[in-house]
Amino acid sequence: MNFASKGAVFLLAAIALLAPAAGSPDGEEDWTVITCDGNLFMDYENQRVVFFNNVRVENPRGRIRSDRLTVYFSPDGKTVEKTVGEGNVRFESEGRSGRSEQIVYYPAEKKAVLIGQATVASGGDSVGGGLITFYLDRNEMEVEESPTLEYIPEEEFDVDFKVDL
Amino acid sequence: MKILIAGGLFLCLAAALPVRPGAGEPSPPPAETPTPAPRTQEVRGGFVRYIPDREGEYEWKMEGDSILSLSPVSLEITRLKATALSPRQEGLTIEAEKVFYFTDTGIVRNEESRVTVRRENSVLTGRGYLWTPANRQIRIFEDVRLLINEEGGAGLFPL
Repeated sequence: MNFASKGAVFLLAAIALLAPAAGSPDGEEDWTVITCDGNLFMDYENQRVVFFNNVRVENPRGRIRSDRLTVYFSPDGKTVEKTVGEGNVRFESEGRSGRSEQIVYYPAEKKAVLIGQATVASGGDSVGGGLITFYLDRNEMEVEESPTLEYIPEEEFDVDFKVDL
Repeated sequence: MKILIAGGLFLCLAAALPVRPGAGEPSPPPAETPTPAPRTQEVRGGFVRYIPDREGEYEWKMEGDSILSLSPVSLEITRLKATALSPRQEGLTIEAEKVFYFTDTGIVRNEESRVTVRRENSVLTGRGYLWTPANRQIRIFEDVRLLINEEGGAGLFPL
């Protein structure tokens, strides 16, 4: 199945691409490591940290790679408000993989936005578009800007397509 | 007073540095010129120095095991530990084996030494760094690694 409609928005509810993996991270898995091949720039006046050149983010649940990564902290520096990965973004997580030109993540909202030639694949299924927004706590995603979908539904999932043309 | 000096070590160091005559003062005749202080003088036993911010509030407490004066404006400090005093940078510490501290610009740097930056639930390590307290910026050059402990699996990244 292949959809290609400019401006269309697909809302996919509880499909396999977003199905959470069995088990949740416990205290021993609450770590994330970020490394890079280039410099790190820390601006504690404006509460942001920038990693340059082949940035890898890894934790027990998966990994993300990008050319550059910026972490924006709250004014008190204690929590992360936003992370932005730019350039050749690739990720693998709990059976899913994807790519885009940019990824923006808002931890408080559990929202991740893939921007620019974005694709997400799981097994034989994949979805693509210029903009993919994940709502991780709701297991939903929106695909905008020339969306494409290759999806083989399984019996245990209810699929809801909303297409605005 | 902007700068506090523990144990008077900086006072000893300052006393050893050459003092320039003031404007309009005649230079002493060469025959009476005292033997100049050595270009380097090491002080061991630790030191503490407080660094103010632009508004004059103490922003950093710098501690080290030893300090070596390389020039009137540059110091070599071993086993530096800098602790942020400002509420905005609460819990932020910077540790390094050896740093060069330039008193005229406030810049701290070393292109070879390892550095560790700690804050709340994160530890940042790397090799080679440039720290400019006046701009509140740190650049780490190589071997960058940031370990974050996400309390309760908060999901710092979309993984």
